[in-house]
This record gives sequence, structure tokens and C-alpha cells, in this order.
Amino acid sequence: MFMRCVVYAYFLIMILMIISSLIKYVKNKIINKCNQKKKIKYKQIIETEIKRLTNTKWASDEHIIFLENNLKKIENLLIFELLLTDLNKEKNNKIEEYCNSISRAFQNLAIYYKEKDSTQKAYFTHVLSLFPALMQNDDNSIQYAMMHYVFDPSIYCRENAMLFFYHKGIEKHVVNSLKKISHRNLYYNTKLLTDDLLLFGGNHQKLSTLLLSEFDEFNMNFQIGIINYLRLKDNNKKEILYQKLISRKYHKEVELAIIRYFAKHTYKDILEYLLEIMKDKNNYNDEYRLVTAFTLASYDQKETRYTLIESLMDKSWYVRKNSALSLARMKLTKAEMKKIELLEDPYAKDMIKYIFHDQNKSLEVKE
Amino acid sequence: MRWIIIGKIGIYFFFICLIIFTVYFLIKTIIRTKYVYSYQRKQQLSNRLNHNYYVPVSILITTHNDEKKIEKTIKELLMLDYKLYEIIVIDMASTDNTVNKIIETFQLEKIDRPIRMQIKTEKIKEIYQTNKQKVKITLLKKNLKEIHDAINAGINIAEYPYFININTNYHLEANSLKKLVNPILEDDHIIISQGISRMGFLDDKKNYHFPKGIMNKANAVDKINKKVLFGTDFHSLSNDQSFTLFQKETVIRCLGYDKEEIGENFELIRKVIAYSTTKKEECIIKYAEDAVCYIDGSNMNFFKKIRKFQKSLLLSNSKHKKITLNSQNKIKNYIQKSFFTFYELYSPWIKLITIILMISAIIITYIDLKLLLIFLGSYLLFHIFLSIYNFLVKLITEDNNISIGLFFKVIFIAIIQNSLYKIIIDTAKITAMFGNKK
Repeated sequence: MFMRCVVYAYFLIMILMIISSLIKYVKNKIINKCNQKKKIKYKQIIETEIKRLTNTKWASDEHIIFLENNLKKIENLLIFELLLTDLNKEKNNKIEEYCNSISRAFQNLAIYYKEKDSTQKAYFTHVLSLFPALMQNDDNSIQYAMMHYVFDPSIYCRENAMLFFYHKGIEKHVVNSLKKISHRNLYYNTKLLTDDLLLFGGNHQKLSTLLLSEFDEFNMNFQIGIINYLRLKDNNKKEILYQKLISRKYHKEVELAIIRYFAKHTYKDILEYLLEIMKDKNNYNDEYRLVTAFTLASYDQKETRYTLIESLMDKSWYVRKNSALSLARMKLTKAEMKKIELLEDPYAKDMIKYIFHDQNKSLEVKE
Repeated sequence: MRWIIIGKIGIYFFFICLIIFTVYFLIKTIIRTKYVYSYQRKQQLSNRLNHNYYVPVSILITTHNDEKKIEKTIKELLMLDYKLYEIIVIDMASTDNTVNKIIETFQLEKIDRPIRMQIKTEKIKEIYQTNKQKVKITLLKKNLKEIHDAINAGINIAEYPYFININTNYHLEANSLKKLVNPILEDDHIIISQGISRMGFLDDKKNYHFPKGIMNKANAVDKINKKVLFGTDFHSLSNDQSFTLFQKETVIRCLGYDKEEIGENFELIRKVIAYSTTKKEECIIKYAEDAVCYIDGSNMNFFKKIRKFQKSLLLSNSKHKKITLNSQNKIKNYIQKSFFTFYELYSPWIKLITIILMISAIIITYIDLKLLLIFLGSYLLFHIFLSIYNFLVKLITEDNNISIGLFFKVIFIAIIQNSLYKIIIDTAKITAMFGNKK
């Protein structure tokens, strides 16, 4: 009897679960249909408002209230974002004007979403990053909210919140926010940091100067991201970075990033130091030499070429490879080509032959 | 008399285990369903979070006499929605037109490329390469049909810091690689990023299609069932074919695949985790649950495949005993490993012993056959329901369409999965302990 009750109870639960999942499926379908209708309704409302904006700069109060009430639900925000993305393809400039006119609504929404979970916050900041005009006329409400968003556990939220500061173009805010993230040891991917800094809407010279002046306040990852940004954007920081490099007080990865900086922005005073790195195997390991070998391609001189040819016989495969790559980019004399051709080290020969072939360069000495 | 008592104890023990398992699965299903639905919502929003962050990845494809499929596989990979990757095909002594087909279709040229032999492998016969396609394609021609050697050679020649290892039965969606790499955006110290592999495929209208062959269909349902039930609890320990991204440097330190291994990702995962445990280093594994690749199992001998995988799992288990999944929570680590060991390795034996006990109990007639049949029948029906339910949950959360035809198909396959399929699986697992090691 007991067993029967147990068995019937199990089956009842299972049948109820299957029915509930089918109900959930039907409910999802209905919600999708409703969302489609909502999308059409929103489209009509937005298009009406866009037409109205030909005569005025700001959206009507009713429209602002409509947005504030409806976009507090994340599902509606999703529909709104999808709709704006579609309309942006058709109407272009008008969407920017529209976003500008409704920025009031988003100031209040920024404060509202501050209390929500990470995923919703991340999505909200993502919408702002897609349509920067929404933040145009900020009365500091969005800025205040973003100062909280930058410390959120979600990396998407942090990154998108930082995009607000980048777009605003005020270097002091960017640097202060980054410093705070660095002090709290919150993860910020190095490559993303570099890419995001490049989006800065203000004066890059001022930003790079301020970043360098506060350089020691940042942790290693941030320092690398900053140097990579400088490499791509600012060629006026050679002396400062050179001093930092020779001070030898920074982490190895930071020093390597600085060496890569000088691959793009040549600086005559550093050549001696780079050649010393290639020769001094006791104080500089393989990683230093392979990055330096790559950097030396920008310093096409007799002594450089000599050092690189010697490095073709380095014990490190990667040093040999980068030395070959750099040599392939240089104008070699006949004597140097002959020297390469007569190399006895088979690994060096294989490497140089492959690289020259890959770079479509001839290894034969021409008379 | 003594044997009857032992038999009775055995039977009662079995019944108690069944009841405990049933209650456990039921509670787990209810809890997991809630998680799966909330994860779905998170994914819906996360999918809209776009970024231009690309980690360079080498895609290794091993091939042997695959002239019919290789071209399609490479073309699919060239269509990936990803910017920074390379394709390395390693041919294992094909006797058909596989190599020529690749060379002609993708315009590869023979080169003399120096390779850094970080993992010792047999000599590579020839190397072909092209930069004329969307990404660099390299073809290694080997003389041996040894999969471990082929993959190790691929790892040696890979230029990028991460790699994935697949074969011509894998089908990646356009955004699979991007999703698999997403966890690295959050932490670039990740060593392994594990996605999901699934039997079957999705068409353009998001309708799920089962793979060919009834056993493959049952396998598809079984995989989904386990995924919903256990989530990522045993993901790293499981011997399923998986879609996994590895950090090359760590794999090289582990010396890649060993000679007796079959070249599946689960072997390397266990090896990497064991290596990190031994070195007292953190092995950061993240799960990209939305990174899916579909596996075409139509031409696989199912029984042989399960035996092969089980042998490999047993070997891997005995070689890498020290595995710490979760260094922060030792109790959870111990429970996970114990449960997995019991469920995957020993449960077929327990079932076999119980069947023997039940048959003998029936013969000696100290057990009511009718009651036994009702109990077992109920247990079977319960698991059929569970399979159907979990499959439906998966389809619903992934926003796939469920037609009436598909629904009845799922019911039929769930019946096969919980009866014939499980018998075949358990027989394969038991027989895997005997015979040749490889």
C-alpha cells in the first residue's frame, strides 16, 4: 500500500512537471507574440514622436513618462533596444536626435537600474553604449549611476559603464575611475582597456599625459593596457617611457610592453639598451630577447643587423624566429646576405629560409 | 540459508538505492529547472552584449580517409563569425584522396616550415600552407595513423596561445567559437573553457533534428538529460565528446597526449587538472554553457565507441588519481569525485550484480515477482518521464520549436534510452574492462 502511494505520488509529480513545462512552452510562445505586438506599438509611438521632433528639440512629457514606466521592465528594454537598432538602419540621424530628446528618461532609469542585478545593469549600460546620445544631456544623474556601475562584479557592466566616461571625454573622470577599479583589483582585460581608451572622446594628449603622471597608481594589467594605448595613439612619450624602462622597477610584462612601444615609435637613445638586452643573456631572459628582436626591425643599422644575424643562432626558437622576421624587413648588404647564407647552424638556416620565403624575399645574393 | 539472507540484503539494498536515487533525481530536477530557466533569461540579455574582443585560437582537425567530409568541414570553419584564428589539418596517413582534395580546393602550397618540437612526435612527412583563404590553413601529412601523435604535432605547430581539437564529425555554429572564448574576456588566466557538444543539429529555423540511428538519438536525449540534471558538476570529469578550448602553454607542460590515449578532449582535461593538482597550481576551468557544437554520429559503431571511451576513462582515472576540481571547497570536491566515480564507473557493475541477485531471488521464490515487476516498471517509467521532461526544458530554454511530431518522437526515444540504450551502455562499460588496453 505504501509502495503504491509512493509510486502514484512520483507519477503525479512527473506528469505535473511535464504539463508545467508544456505550459511554459506555450507561455513563451504567447509572450513572444505579445512582444511582437509590443514592438509594433512601440514603433508607432516612437515614429510619432520622431515626427513631432521636427518642430521641437525635446520629447513630450507624456512620452518621457511612458518610457520611464515601461522601460523599467527589462523585457521591454530589450524590445526597445532591438527596435532602435532596426530603426537606426533605416532612419540614421533621426534616431540620434530622438535619443538626445529622451535622455531625461534615461537619467531616471540609470538610478533605477543601479539597484538591479548584474545582468540587468550590464544590459542597461550596453543600451547606453549603443546609443551614446541617450547620455548627451546628462544632469550628472547618469554619471553618478555610472560611478556605481564601474564597480559591479559583471565585467560587461564595468566595461560599458567606463564607455560612458570615455564618450564624455573628460580625462580626469576616466583616470579616476580606472584608478579606483585598479585599487579594488577588479579585473579589466588588458586588450579591452587599450581598445576602450582609444574610444576616448576628448583630447588624447591630455589623457595620455594624465595617465602617465598617475602611472604608478595602477596595477600591472592597467599599466600594460595604458602603454599599449600610448603605442597606438601617442608618439610623444618616448623619453618618459625610456626612463621607466631603464629604471628597472616595473614588472617584466610592463617592460616588455614598453619595448614594444619603441617598435612603433623609434627613439635613438634606446638602441644601445636594446642591443645590450640581446647580448646580455644573464640579465635578460628569452622573453626580453624575443620582444627586442622584434623591435629591432625598426632600427635598421649595421650594428643591429649584425646582432640579429648572431641571434639567428640563439637557443630560443622564438628569438631566432623574430630575428629572422626583423632581418626580412631590413635592407641587407651583400656581405650580410652572404653571411646569412653561409650560416652553419642548421636551425638558423631553416628558420631564415622559411621566413624569407614566407615574406617573399630572396635569400640569394645578387651580384 | 546464508546466501538467501545475503541475497535479501542485496535486494533490499538495491531497492533502497533506487528510492534514494529517484528522490535525489526528482529534487535535483526541480532545483535545476529553476536554474536553467533563470540562466536562459541571463543568456537572452548576455547575447545582446557585443564586444570586439578576439583571442587568437588554433583549430586542430585530425583526419583519416575523410575525403567526403573534409572539404565541407573546412568550409564551415571558414564561415565562423570570428576574426583571429587559424586552421591546422593533420592527416593521419590517409589512403584516399583526402590530402589532394584539401590542397586543390584551398590552394595549398608545399613549404619547409621549421617546427618547434615542444612535445615529442614522429616526423612530419610534408607541410602545406596557404594564406589565400580567410585565415591561414596548414596541412600536416603524417605517416602514422596515431591520433595522439597527430594532435601533438598540431599543438607543436599551432601559432596561437589557445587551441581546440575537433574532427570531421564536429559542426560548429557561426558563433560557437566566440561563445567558447567569452569566459577569457572575464579572466585571461583561464586554462580550459568547456562548451557543450550535442548529437544532432539545428536548422535555420531553430528546429532541432535528431542524428541518424536510434542509438545516437537515445544518446542525444541521454546527454541532454545529464546536462539538465547535473549541469557542470561533472563536466570536466565526464568522458563525453566535448567542445573544449585549451591553453596551449599548459598542455605543452603536460606533454600533450600520451601514446595509449584516444585523442579525446576528456583525456586532456583530466591530464591538465591532474598536472595542476600535482604542481599545486590553480587550474582555472570555466564553462561556456551556450557554446554548442553538434556532432554527427551517423557513421560511428555505437557499441565500439562507448567501449573505447570507457576504456580510456578507466585508464585516465587510474593514471590521474589526484584531481582537484575545486581547490576552495574540498568537501564539494570529494563529493563530486565520489559521486562521479560511483555513477560512471561502478554503477554498471552494481546493476549487473543486482540483476543476478534478483533472478536468483525469483528462482528461490522469496520475492514477489509481481511486486518486483511493478517496482521496476515504475522506476523505468519515472526515468522515461524524467528524460522527456529534461529534454523539453532544454528545447524551451533554447527557444527551439517543439512540434507534436517532435514531442512524440522524444517519448519514443526516451523509452529506448531508458531501456535498450542503457543495457547497451552498461554492457559496453562492463566489457570495456576486459580485452586489449587500446
